[in-house]
Amino acid sequence: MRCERIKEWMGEHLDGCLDADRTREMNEHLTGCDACRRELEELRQTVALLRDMPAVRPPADLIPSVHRRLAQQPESPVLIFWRVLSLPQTRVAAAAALLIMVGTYGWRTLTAGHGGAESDLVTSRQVALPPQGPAVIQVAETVHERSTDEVTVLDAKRSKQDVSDMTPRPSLILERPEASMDDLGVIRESSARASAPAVANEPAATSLSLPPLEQKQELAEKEDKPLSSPAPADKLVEIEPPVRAEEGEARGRIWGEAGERRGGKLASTPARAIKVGGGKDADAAPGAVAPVTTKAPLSKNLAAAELPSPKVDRNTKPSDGRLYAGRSDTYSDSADAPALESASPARKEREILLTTSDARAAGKILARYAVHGKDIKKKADEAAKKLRDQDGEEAQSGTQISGWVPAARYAQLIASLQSIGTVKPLPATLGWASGGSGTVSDLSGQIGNESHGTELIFVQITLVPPAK
Amino acid sequence: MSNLQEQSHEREVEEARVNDLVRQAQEGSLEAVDELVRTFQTPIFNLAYRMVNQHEEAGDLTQEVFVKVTRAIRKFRGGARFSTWLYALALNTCRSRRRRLRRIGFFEKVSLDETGDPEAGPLHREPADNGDPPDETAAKHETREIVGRAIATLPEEFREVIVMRDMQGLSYEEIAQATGCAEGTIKSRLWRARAKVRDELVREGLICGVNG
Repeated sequence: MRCERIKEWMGEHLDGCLDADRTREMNEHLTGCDACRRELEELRQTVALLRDMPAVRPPADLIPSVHRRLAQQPESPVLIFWRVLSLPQTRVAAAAALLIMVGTYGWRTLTAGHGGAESDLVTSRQVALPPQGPAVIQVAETVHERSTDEVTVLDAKRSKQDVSDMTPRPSLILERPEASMDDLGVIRESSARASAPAVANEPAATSLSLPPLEQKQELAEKEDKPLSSPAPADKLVEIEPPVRAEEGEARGRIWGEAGERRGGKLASTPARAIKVGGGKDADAAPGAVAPVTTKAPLSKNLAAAELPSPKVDRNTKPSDGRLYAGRSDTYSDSADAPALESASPARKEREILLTTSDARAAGKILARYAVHGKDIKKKADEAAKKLRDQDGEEAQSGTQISGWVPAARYAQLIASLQSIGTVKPLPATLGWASGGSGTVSDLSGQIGNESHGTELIFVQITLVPPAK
Repeated sequence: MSNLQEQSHEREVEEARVNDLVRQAQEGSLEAVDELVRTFQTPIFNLAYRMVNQHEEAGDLTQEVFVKVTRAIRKFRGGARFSTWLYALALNTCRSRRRRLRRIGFFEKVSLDETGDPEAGPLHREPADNGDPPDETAAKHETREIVGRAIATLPEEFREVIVMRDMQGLSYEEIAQATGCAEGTIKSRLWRARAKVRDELVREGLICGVNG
């Protein structure tokens, strides 16, 4: 391992950028390591040869060719429009037009009257809406105050999508004071709605040409139902596995806001903690605090089939204070519900007790079915070694391997495990406290990228050798 | 003044000159634009050449880069060095061009022989007498051919960092800014790129390790 590290420093050393401590450590290592000395010398010669390569002379007529091109290729109308728009006079005119539009819309809204009992302070940003192509959506920052439940949602922000052409369009400030806001105060903006009075529970705006995922997410978030009503399966939102919350690094959304993904990468969505006040029900998680996700995966419909919707109704208290994700009929009693210490959305988890004499095979099986099987196999081998070395009571306490398994393959996993031992499902007691497994959060970030659209189950297998 | 101080001073003077040219170009001076092209045509052409391994294509690519620079120079806000901005624009242009060329099977047609010593190509001629004995010139020529081939067979992102760092002397920070990657990523890529070139050169017998 040390040689690997030293080799990684060689490049910086050759570039004269390695700090004094590391240089000293490297030199000490080199005095006793032939392989690294050889490696360094080879790299030194390589870099010397690279640096000795002469520069290729460009064509002599490059400048006249550039002039010819500039003359032959007039700027596209789009670029000319952009350039005209960037002139100071044009900016002043555009700003004036914008003010008039805002004033008109604001006046109309004020005279129409506000609905709702709560005072919402909404600051919204301008949204540039290209006529075609992906919409640029900015989420309003909302401070949402509730006098009783103290559900405070802070700062959900979604980064802008790139607009394929840089053509600016007149900006609109879209504000819907009466709009039904989802839990994170996300206001979905629509060019069609800009002048229409806001109505709660309106179908999601589809006039924007959003990618299909976002349209579905919008539909999911439009429902603003009381907690006890299960959300229809197709309107369930993505649930993110909870990860450690770290100030300043918060990403992603919480509590039922649909995740978003573009091209397999997570959008950067800083969020702050959500504090959930307990309800009167004994099952309520008192003072539970949701962890803030850090680049958490946005596994689509992670708990869609089983867990109730996490929606919080603005106007009524939650019936039992518990927060769910998905359908409510999964949990027949509070014992089954995942611990809400972390107040994260509940996820689909399975714990299994596997009595087997072949722990290595168990690891291989899990690695075969799970995402990131390579990491799991490595851990399983370590677990197998540990089991082999254990004895008596210690051996009976078992060791664990775990991983994310696509829901569709869970049954096959169980069948495979049954071929090497006795499988016994355990009551789900996994609590994803904020100090939860680094492995989960590490994998989570990777899973989001790889298992786009796949429902996943977190499977934890406790391995116990057979009684002697 | 020490050597390092001299070099640092030269860099500062050059940077001030470039900034001045950029300002003039933004105000509409075509002479300033031409002077910027003259200043940066060699590194940009070399970058383009190493990315597409063909003289004509590299020339065309370089023209495209400077046309874009001329049209977009007003957008340069001065937050980073002009050279970094230029490199970023050039890299993006090269990558787009490579994608297009790949789609038409261009790289299958260009033989690796063409990626040898560019000085042997139509754009260059060896000086009539550079002071080296003839066999040394031939040996150098062959060495450069081999190194050129080793660079040409690198994956795109490795090639970029090798060219910018080892052939054009950009710092890690500048390369990171131009490519949009973290410095750690650049260091890692550079290390792996050099290791790949080293493997090729060892295979060709151009370099050998230290014994014992």
